[in-house]
Amino acid sequence: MIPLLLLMLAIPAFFLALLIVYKRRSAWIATISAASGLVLAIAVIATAAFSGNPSITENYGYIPSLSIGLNLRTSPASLVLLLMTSIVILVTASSGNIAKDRERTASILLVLFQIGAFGLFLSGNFFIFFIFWDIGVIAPFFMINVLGSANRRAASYKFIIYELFASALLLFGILLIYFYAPGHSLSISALPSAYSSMPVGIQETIFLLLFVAFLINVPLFPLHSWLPDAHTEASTQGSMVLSGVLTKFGGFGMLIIFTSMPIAHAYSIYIAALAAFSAFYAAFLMMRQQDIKRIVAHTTIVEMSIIVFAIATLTNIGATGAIYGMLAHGIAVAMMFLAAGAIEHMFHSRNIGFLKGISHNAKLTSWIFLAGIFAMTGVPLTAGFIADILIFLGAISAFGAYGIIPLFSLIFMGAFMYFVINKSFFANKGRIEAEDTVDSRPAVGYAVLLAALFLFGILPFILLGIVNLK
Amino acid sequence: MLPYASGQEPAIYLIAVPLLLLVVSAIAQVYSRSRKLSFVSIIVLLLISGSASLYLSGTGASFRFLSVLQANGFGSLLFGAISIAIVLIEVLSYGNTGKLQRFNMLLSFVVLGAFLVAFAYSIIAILVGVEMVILASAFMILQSGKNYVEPAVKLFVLGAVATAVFTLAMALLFPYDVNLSLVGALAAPIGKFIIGMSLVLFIGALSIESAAFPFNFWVPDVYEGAPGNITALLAGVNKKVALIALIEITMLVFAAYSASGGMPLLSDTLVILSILTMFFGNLAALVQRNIKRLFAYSSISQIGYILIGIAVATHLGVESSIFYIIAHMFMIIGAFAIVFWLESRNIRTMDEYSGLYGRNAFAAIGLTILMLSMAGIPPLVGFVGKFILFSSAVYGNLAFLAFVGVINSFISIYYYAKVMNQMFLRKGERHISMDRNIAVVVAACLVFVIAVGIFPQLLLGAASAAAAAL
Amino acid sequence: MYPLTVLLPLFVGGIAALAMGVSPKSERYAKYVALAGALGSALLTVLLLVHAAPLPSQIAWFSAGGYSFHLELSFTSANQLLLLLIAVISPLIFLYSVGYMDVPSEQSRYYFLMSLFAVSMTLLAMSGGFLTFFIAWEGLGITSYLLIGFWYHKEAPPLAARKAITTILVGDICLLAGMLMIWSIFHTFSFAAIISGAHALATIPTIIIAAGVLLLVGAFTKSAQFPFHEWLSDAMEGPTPVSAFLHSSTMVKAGVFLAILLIPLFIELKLLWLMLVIGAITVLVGAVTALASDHIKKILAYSTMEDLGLMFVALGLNAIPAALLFFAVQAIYKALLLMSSGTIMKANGDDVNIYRVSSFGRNRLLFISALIGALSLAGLFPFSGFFGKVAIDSAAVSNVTVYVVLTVADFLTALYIFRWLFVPMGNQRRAPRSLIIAKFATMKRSMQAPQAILAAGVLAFTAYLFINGNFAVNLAAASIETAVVVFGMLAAYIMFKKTTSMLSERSRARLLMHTSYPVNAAYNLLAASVIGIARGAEAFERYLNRVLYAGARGVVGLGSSTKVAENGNVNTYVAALAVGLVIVLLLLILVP
Repeated sequence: MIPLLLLMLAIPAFFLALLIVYKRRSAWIATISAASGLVLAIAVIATAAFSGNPSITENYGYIPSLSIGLNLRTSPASLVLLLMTSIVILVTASSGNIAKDRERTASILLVLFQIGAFGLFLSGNFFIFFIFWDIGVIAPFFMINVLGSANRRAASYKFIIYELFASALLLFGILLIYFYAPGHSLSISALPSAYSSMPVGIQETIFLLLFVAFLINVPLFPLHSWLPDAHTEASTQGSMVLSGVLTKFGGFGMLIIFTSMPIAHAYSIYIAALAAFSAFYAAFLMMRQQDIKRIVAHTTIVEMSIIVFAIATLTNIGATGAIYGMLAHGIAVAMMFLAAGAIEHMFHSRNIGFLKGISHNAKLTSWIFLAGIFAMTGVPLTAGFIADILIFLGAISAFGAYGIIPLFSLIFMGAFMYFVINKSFFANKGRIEAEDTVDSRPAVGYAVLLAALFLFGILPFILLGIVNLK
Repeated sequence: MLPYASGQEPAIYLIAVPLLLLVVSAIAQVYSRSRKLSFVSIIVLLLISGSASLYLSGTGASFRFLSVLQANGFGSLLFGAISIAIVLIEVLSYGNTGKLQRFNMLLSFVVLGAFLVAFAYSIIAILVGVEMVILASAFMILQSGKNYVEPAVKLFVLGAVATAVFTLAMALLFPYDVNLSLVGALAAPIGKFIIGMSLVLFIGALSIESAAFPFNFWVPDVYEGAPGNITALLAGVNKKVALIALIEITMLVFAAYSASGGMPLLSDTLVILSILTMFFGNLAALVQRNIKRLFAYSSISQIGYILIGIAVATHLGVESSIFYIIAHMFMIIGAFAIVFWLESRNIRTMDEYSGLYGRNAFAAIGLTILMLSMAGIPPLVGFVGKFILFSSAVYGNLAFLAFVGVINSFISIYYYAKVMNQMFLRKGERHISMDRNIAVVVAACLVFVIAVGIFPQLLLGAASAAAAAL
Repeated sequence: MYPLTVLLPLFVGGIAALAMGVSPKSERYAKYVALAGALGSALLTVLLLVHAAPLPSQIAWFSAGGYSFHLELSFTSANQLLLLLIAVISPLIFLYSVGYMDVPSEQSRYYFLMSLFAVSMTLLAMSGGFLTFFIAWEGLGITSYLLIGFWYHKEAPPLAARKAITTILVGDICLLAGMLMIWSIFHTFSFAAIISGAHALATIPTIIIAAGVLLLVGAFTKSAQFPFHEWLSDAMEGPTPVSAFLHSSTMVKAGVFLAILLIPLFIELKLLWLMLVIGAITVLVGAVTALASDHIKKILAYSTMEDLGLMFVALGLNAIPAALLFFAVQAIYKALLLMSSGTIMKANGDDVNIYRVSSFGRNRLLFISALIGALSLAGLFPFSGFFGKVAIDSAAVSNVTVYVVLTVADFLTALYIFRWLFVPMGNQRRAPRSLIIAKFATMKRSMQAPQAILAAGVLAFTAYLFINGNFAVNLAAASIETAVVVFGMLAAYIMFKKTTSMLSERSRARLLMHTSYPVNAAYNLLAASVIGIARGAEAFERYLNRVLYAGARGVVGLGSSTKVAENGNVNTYVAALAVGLVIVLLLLILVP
């Protein structure tokens, strides 16, 4: 038996070490690391699919004196997210560094993030979960702080403060679980049974601590304001993994706590209301933005709010929709940030007031951006459509007709995105010329993401089959 | 506890003989001219003594001699760690312009003091050891140059006050325990109040030296004023010696007192000290512009974390305190090594640190990793330390204390991130190269921080055994 | 034969056309590939309908949360009718495009989008459930958006495209919301199952009524009903074949088509009145504005809007056969008329103002086909439009208000369509320009042929209706309609044939009747209020950030208050130690 899950961590770790000692061809090494990640993710999914068992577990000793093991496990959600993550990271590694700016630093951070993300989605206990959570936060911090654009310092500062506040709450929550769980077990799969044996007050405390921690990461109103700054100022690669993968950490965590903590039933209606408000709020905020990356960043808040809303429905179909939504959004937003990065590199500006008629020089990028809008607004045959259907079917069955309300935030989001693309991309009057021609440099990345978007939109049964496994 | 465990006697000679040799040769070499000989002899002898001590802690053997000293797992682990720390200090000081032989003589007294405290069987030994460490380091500062009179005097005065308080505490205890031995004393506490007072005075005296709030105000001045290598010694060794003494006194001398109802007093006092120390250190560090002062306050706050474990006073609590004492020893020595080196390049304040990444990437990355470790970010050693400290607090029904600790490690991110932010600024100044001896120290600390962070069992098992031996 | 194979030739043609865009050399052939695809699909459609007599079918798509989701196809008479219409019109449009789109570049993009549109439209026509329908529906919306903004280097098309996609987006989301809400009751997306489920319901849950309204809003946006209609006239910024194909004959009917497919549901929900009211308003607004417009294509766009309003009125009156009949009739003559507009624009160097352009020169073929189209649109006996209109009028007799509205609209229709015909002809007569006349004479065969074929189609349809006219016509209504139309034509002859002073370029009456000004002002107001909310959100966000910053500053402030403690004076430190010790000792006394 090949220890697939361990390999998913060990191989990037090996490449990380290689990157540190070997100073050349960094981008290639990172790409190979990402590609091997994708191959392994597919292998894991295939294993799960053929055995009909979505929870593959591997247990290794780690800290025996605290009875904490290196427990790795998969779940339907983590299988889907692993696949999405490995696709996004592969594209980020191969095409994300459009300017070929400080490739070695960028590659090291990306591979570090890869370890964090894989580890998080594979973690079988909360100790491991927390370790990889923080690795996944620290790597993007440097992607912003070291590789970012003009206002990167303030943005990275804000990012780390918010995210580590989240991880402080998470840590405290985990400590409480550690103490109150029978046998001091931090196991995620044993959480439902462990949870029910805790005192009610502690149950509530743990739920709220973890919920707020995940809320900051996702993020939801009112603790979202790190996201637009961070996503805007990060390097293109940073933005891609931040929006595409990092925000899913919180979503994944929400899925865990909502499915294993029955106390969530008492709060779900309020959380759903908050998420719905958050979606509209972010959509309206977005309308006042001038910076393309900021605009895309706000779509992340809208989409992730809807995903949290879906999780809060506490229905099977809603949770499936949330998982699929994270898949769709991760891919689509990575694509849009890649396109935004290409635009920035070509025109040396991200301001929609300045950009005009750029589709003339950046034809491919403009169409990709448009395809991203389609995916975001849930156009059929993109993965976003399947997600929207499942999310709102779950929502209606949980909340009745009110459940449909957040769907309408997509009108505002979509209308503004179309406004932007027509105004700055297509309307050719007074158009500006590119200062750099790299339109087709990320073409392979575009192709992979676009293909994934349509593959999972046209043939949703591939992954839904995995999600449906029980 | 056996007077002799058969077969292990040679080990104790391997510790004691090189140590005596060390002191004697160091005194003798003050009159020799060879820096190298002095350097090599102190390092070789310390390494022999330290590794013998570590070996001894691994065997779990325990002996007593002269009814003043005893060797057990606790003392030998900590003395082993301190020996290695002092080796690092010695390497750090090699490039110093001052007279190394004189420095080494004083350093050998520090080693001897640490030995006495770690292997103490009598309160007298603790007093002598602590006093030796303080006086020797005050003289070390003094002999570094004319500019260092002020910090040396401050340290001396505070040390004297501490000694006075310590002696008073001893005097209060004397009627009840004429032997002043650590084990078996106070079997039948009679005058509870007097004993409580003695306990509190002991804590106060040792708090002065370990710099817990409100006994810590001398720390920033002395740290800032002293040369960097001695600052590293003060933060890395002196404080830890005081903490070891504190553990011995609270856990051993007052064991019976605690068991017969004195526990709340001990615990409450330490909890309050711990909370105040954490908050004071972290809050004050927020506003520092001088990096040395910043680390001074940061190390104060770290003492607060260590006090959590002592306050909890369970096996896990002591274990986690031991773990964190050793972890912090290497974190802070590494950090002050970099600070020391930059000080010699006239780089002291936050503003002068900006762009360090461009000038010496190793220093910037090294300092970043050390700071992340101090902030408790996984997978570094600081995280494991804090995790077990906080979990021991939750286990000891002091969840509130754990929460304060978590919040404090979040606050600390604020200033660590500020330093990182400065260091990774792009400035394009010219490269400055790091002295080789400093690079060796930093690298050793980094290896420790990362290796033990990823594989905490390396140290955790030893710490657990040490706590059990107490 | 499997029904979906019909889509294959079009799809392959479109992809091939796109692929040919890689080099200018191969791009020249893109049009032929796409045309072949359209023809192939049309042939297959006819084969499918005539020979195979397709049956409803289901394709399992995915399952989640314990439910399965299927793509349903169905072939009711409405489905078949629309399929047939597409099969007839789409090859003709592609043929017309071959002549019309004579720009050297952008060909492959154009044919790719057109083919994709035709694929979506055909899929829509076959759909038997919401999932299939919605996929096709969004395909229509997106291709329409891209085709309206096709000439993106001009100023107006991107704006028009934006307006279109915004309106359509509202409709899409409403339709999606409606269909999901319906699913939550019936747990199926199949139209047939939903209808039978609705019949079986004892009481109608409120959620379905809300869903019904949302579905209708979706239908209204796509079919340009008041107040969502203004995008349609702007959509005329697209290339003329696009206007002829998407924005008059096929895509805009998607909303009506949805209403037709689900009419039993709407009857159960008692929502017919909504269609009736909105339809009647749209009829009037469309007819009046068509009369006021001076844009050769926008006149027809408002007319299309009026026609769609008429269909909704028919549905609102539960006159489904009438609606279906008009549905079919309208497609053919409207495609024909828009092609005529395109021909006129082509000859006049893309001028669109009816007061400036000249029409037809000495080209009888073009003139006669346009005339046939106009007569049919006006609804003069015995042209095909007459049958359609009379069928609707007859259904409306029972409802006086609606009947009056329809009759007024009939009059206005005759008036504006002959204005459309006469004014450019008058321009030509008064000031003949030989260059333009020559252009009409040498108009490409590929552009003339489709018009002639469609004109013949109008006539053939007329003949078919005469032979197979087995539907109830209210004779009185028919005669009133004829009288009104004749009267309208006469009025048009008097007003516009001789002189252009009536409703001239600068007349105030024309401006007053031009509804698009107030409607656009209302849109702008709506947009401004949304932006106002956005501004509010932005202000709140700033406030929120300030609060969070204040919190952070507070913590740092606590930090700077610790500076009191560090004054460098060793006395202070010893004093602090003493105080600390005393406090600890006090604690000892206080804590027993």
